[in-house]
Amino acid sequence: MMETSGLDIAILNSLLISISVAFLSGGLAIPLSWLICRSNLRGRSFFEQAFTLPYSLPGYLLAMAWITLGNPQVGWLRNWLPSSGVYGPFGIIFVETTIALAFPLMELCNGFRRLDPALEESARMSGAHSIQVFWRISAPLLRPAWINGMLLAFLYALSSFGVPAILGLPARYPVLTTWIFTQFRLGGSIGLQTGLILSLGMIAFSFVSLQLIQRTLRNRYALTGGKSSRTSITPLPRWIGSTLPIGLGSLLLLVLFLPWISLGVTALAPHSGSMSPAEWTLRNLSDLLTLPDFQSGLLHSLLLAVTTSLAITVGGFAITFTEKKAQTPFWKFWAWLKGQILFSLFSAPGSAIAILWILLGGMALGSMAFNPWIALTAAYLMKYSALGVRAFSEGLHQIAPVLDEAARISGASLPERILRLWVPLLKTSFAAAFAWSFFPIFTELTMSILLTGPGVETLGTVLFQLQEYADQQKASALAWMLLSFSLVFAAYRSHQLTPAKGNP
Amino acid sequence: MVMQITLNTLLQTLSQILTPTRRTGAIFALVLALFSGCTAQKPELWIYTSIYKDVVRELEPIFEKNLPEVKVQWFQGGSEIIAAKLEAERAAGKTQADLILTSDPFWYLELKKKDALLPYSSPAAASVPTEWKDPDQTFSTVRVPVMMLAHHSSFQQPPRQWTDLTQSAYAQKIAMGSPLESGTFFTSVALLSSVKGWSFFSSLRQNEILASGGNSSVVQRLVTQERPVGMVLLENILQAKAKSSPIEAIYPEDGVIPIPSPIAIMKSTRSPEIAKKAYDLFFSEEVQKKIVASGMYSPLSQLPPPAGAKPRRELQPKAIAVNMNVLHQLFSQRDEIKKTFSDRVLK
Repeated sequence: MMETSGLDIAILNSLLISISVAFLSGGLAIPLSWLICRSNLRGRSFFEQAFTLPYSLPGYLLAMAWITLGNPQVGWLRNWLPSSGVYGPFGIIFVETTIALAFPLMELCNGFRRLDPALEESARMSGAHSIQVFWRISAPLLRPAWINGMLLAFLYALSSFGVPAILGLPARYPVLTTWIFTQFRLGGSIGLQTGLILSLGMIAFSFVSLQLIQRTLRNRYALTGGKSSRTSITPLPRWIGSTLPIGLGSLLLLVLFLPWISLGVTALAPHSGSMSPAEWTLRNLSDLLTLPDFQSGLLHSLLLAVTTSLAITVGGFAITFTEKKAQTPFWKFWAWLKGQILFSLFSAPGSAIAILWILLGGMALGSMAFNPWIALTAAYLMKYSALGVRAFSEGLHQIAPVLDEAARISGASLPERILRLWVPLLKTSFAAAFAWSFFPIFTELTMSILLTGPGVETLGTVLFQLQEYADQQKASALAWMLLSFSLVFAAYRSHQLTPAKGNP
Repeated sequence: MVMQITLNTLLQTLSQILTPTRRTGAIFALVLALFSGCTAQKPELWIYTSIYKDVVRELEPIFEKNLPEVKVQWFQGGSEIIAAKLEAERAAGKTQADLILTSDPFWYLELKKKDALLPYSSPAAASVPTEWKDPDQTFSTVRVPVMMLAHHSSFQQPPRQWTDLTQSAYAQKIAMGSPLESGTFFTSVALLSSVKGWSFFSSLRQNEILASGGNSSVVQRLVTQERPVGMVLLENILQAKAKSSPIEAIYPEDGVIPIPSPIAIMKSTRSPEIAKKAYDLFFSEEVQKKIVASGMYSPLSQLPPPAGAKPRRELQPKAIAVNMNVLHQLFSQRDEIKKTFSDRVLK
């Protein structure tokens, strides 16, 4: 019999967190995207890149950093926080909003770039001022992108595990993913069944949500088409123009650099709890670099992340291309279905994906499914393939079909058209698909600890080992290195991909 | 040129033989073979264990030397991770584990109930006290972690016994792991509730105890003084002290909690005889010494305590009694214990 004590509260908490994160990130994204895309804000390109950075950072690393910053007893910022500190729903919503903001922000920025400026220009010429133009012209046209971004933020928060586990459970605040986690951990075979049923329920819920939203959006996207003309930029009043960058910079300091500094200080401390700068040492970092498990973990994670991201990139292109080009209803439906299933899997908890692989893979392949290379690759593909599909779905639809038709009439075969037409036109989408799947896989923890095997350490499992058993100082050093790498990588990625229109 | 022709011929022949489906299957099989290393190998013996990775690394050569006929493969993870993995494998129809060694004795009772364990009366485990062995020989205690109290070195008024934690002086000062997340904390809560009653935990709730994560979370909260007093395993305290962390052990006057951590052979093992040899090897002095060095007591009385820990004779008289009867009784109340703890402490 299913043990469901506390499940109702966990579901309610999950919904509260996910809805709050969706609306907060969606609410913040509106002014931010307008400032970035339609105003003369100083450093707007930098702010676009910086506010989307946290998406590339592993949530559990940010949550670990926020414990140092915001725990109610000795946290650095405890005097500015509520009595429960960063623990509880407010902490979870805050940290997850900083991560999920990327979804509506990027959707809206892409929407602004696709929006025909002639529409806004006509309104302006008819006497409307900037705010009226935004609310009466831009906002209704951008609503589908906004809703889509909020849906992705909602699904992200719903499936998130690391942040609520680290910041919610100490405050007795369970959510659905942490509830499922406890079922898997200590529920025995009945707990396993319960956890799987709930995870499948989450996948189904995501599937239905996606269908409803896509059905709503499909008819409206047509309104945002049209030929581009020069976008008009609204000048900000001088005092706003000079103070706003400072305000946004301070916000960035809070959401990005304070967590980085807090992990850095812990990594430099000679032992846990020592915070005196006089005692700082690089020993933890140098010990970590010479640790054999770290070296092999780095190599394995790199190998897995590169190969799986490549597969996700090629697969994402193949699925979206088939969906667009398929002639028969069957192939069209099959490609569409694959895309939808992948999106639903993206919103499932990692531990559920791993258990699902052991179960289904074990039934289909026997003990071969437990080979850690196969198991990890399969689980990463299941969880992150949606990112590949997402990267190509918009890019492909922005290329006029007449180009492909012209190439086909000129005698080019399908492989030739793919190599000479589609790949060059979609190179930013290829780069986006690879980059967006690479980093979550490189630092993945939840699935890896269940599916790893002898001699196949990954960075996630090494971090887990250090944190749980051996050496928390080295764990902090590794977390700091990963966060630093994430920041550098994300900054590079944003720099490379910001002008692209095919970003997920 | 000849090579090219041969290769082309081979590819043509293959494409004629293989239908698209078969071709995909063949490619898949080839990839699988490459992944799994296509050389002929010795049979494998899989050990799923929650023993620390450092210890596993030290055990590997001992097993290699004593079991040359097999390749011993270790899957190392937390007890709960191993339980989840093995349960999923069993649900899939087959587990690759031959031996299991984790720290949650209740899971072994569940596996025994499902007839998943192979009974084995090991001569090597003969001197393990009978109260720490399954009477039907399906599992035996192979190591004994000890749950106790600890405090930050600078904390002035450390508790002396479990019941001290209910005093108001410890309000917002105590941390423990969650019995919903950690097997050792489940066992500890089950035993403490049977000895001290559930009112003990209600008082801890009044003192706003922080119950989350496992032993490492508690150590982290202790050393950062987020919570200067905590319930934690001896081995975690010894490891933290070895790294100069400011933490002190407290052996509660009303008794530490020994957590008998079992070893068992899966009934589905491919090589019962080799699994039995490996089982015996875990009770050898050489292996037991490595286990003791990791901060746990040995169930074999002739072995010394872990370095820096109190001798067994000082702990035993007051230690909270754990035997098979107690475990069986608590096992039948497992869901109730979790629910009561959730209601009294986690809400």
